Amino acid sequence: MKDLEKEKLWQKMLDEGKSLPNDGNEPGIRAYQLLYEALKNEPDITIPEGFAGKVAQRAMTQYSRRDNSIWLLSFILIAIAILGCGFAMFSLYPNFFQLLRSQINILGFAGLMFIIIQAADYWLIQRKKIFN
Amino acid sequence: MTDDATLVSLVKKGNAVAFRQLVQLHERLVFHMVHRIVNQPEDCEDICQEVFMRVFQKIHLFNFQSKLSTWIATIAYRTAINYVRKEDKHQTDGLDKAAALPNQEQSALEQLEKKATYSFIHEQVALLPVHYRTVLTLYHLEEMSLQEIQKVTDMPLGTVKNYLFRARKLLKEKLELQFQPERL
Repeated sequence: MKDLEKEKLWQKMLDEGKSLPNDGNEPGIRAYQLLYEALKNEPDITIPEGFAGKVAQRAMTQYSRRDNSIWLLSFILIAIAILGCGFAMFSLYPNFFQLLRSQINILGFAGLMFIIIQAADYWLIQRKKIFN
Repeated sequence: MTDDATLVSLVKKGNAVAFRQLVQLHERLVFHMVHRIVNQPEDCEDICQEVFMRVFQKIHLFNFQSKLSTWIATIAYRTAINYVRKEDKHQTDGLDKAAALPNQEQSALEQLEKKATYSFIHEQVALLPVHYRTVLTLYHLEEMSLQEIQKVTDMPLGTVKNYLFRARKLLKEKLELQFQPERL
């Protein structure tokens, strides 16, 4: 058998977990056995202490930043929509703002409630979901 | 212990504890791969962090078409290979390097020690071309199948088999050269 074929056969046998023939004239056999043992042996690598925690913290910072960007974008879009609606209503009904002014207490209360609910949702529910 | 599906769904929702657990479960795999591909211990931690950040950013794309570990290994492989390319540390000439290794002067007794043999082999692995190192690590250390290695590295199956055979043959020759046959 040619050397290359012989080596292919040995590697195949070792891959399949079979033991190689105990042939004293074949130094390659012992070398392969040692090699396979060594390759299974983990090299000396030290994973830094707290690595997982450090990475998780970095990821969460990025996540919160992305979350904040989404909030900001939503706020801008809502503001544009409100201004657009106000402008359209004023063009159609010139008394629109006088009507709004007369209902200022109700509108203020609704706005305040909206902000309180959103803040409570973020601090009491969303943040818990992220860190638990 | 949380299974992969639960873990992934929690990470997708931005759960920090789940992500930390995911990192803990796969840090060994990522460190081994990055360490073998990059061959520079001082850069290893930063690259591994980068790998897990990518995992976090792309987790919404993971749809269980492969094992989670295979998917993470793919990201680790690509990140490490990109780093090697950027740093212009391509090891395409690794074969020649491996062929020109200096003989280390060690006593016969030391040579006999298994530990010394193992560390000699690990040193030789580090001198192999990057693709050889990768397939060896994935196959022997991470016990991945040839098909899984094919997925991770995006190499044809024949190439994976060929690299694996040639890498082991090269290492075996180095071992025979370094240690006298009767000592083996």
